[in-house]
Amino acid sequence: MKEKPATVFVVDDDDAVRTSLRLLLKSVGLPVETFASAQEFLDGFDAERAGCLVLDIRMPGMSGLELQQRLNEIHAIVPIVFITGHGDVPMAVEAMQHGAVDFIQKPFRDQDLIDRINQALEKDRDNRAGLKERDAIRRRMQQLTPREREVLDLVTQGKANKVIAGDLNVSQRTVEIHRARVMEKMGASSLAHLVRMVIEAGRAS
Amino acid sequence: MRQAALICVVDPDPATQRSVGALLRALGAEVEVYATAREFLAQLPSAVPVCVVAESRLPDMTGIALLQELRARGLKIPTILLSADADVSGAVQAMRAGALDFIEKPYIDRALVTQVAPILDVDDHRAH
Repeated sequence: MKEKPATVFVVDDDDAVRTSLRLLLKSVGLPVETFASAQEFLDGFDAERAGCLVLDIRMPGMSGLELQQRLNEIHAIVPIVFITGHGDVPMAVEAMQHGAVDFIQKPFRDQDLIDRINQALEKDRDNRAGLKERDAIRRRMQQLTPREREVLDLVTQGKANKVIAGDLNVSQRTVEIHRARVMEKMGASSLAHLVRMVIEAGRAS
Repeated sequence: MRQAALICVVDPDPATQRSVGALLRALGAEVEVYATAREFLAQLPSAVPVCVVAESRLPDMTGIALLQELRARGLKIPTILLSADADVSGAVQAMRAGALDFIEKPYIDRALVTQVAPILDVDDHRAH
């Protein structure tokens, strides 16, 4: 599987801002792509690509807040750092309520922006690692037989083998065998590990 | 019979106390008003409100500190901060700390109703 490096996507209608941000980010070795409008970014949006979004809050056409809303509607996880003008408190609050990771107010120091972008990229890495882990657990769970799945549910509810044997009307020895297979297929090193995986898999993604 | 849901207003300004208090009562809430965070925190064990509306600059602590104090006590009460001299970074900080909303004075009525009305409804539905 080929993966492009994490990219900083800059969306700003101001040519001068786009150019200066491109130069700034390149100078610190961050891959950057710029877009002159929210629509242009959305048209080329690929949820698989790692990175973060640096987004001007006020733009003609689709605003930064509207783009955030559109991305939320398609459950995009790309972290957003908003660039805002002075006195945009209500917009800042609204964007935070909708999951923005950060804000930077114009005029800003270059280093401040770079720090925030690095934090956003780290968050994206964490989010993606979490999603990957969840997918892997779900795939392993799908490999369980229906009976193994039942045993998994009962084991992770904290029931003892003897109780499970009673619940499923099988011998305790049979439960032990199923349980060992569940542990093996799930790659679980302990009951606690197994429980953690089941909780992780149950999370909405 | 269940009593009206309690909302606490923490703000030293009498005009805000009056107008916010009237608005919240009109929405059907029972309102208690405090001028300082300390007075409000002192009565907390006896009555936990469904929502707190607090000025972000209280005489004895900031609204964010009050929010953090509530969380430290294990109370996840929805908290709305009000501010007369808001800036973007203060607003962002408040939202990060877990504020439900951060509203600029003096035009707070509409935003306050938007946030509080669902809380009062939700609370009614949850009542047994």
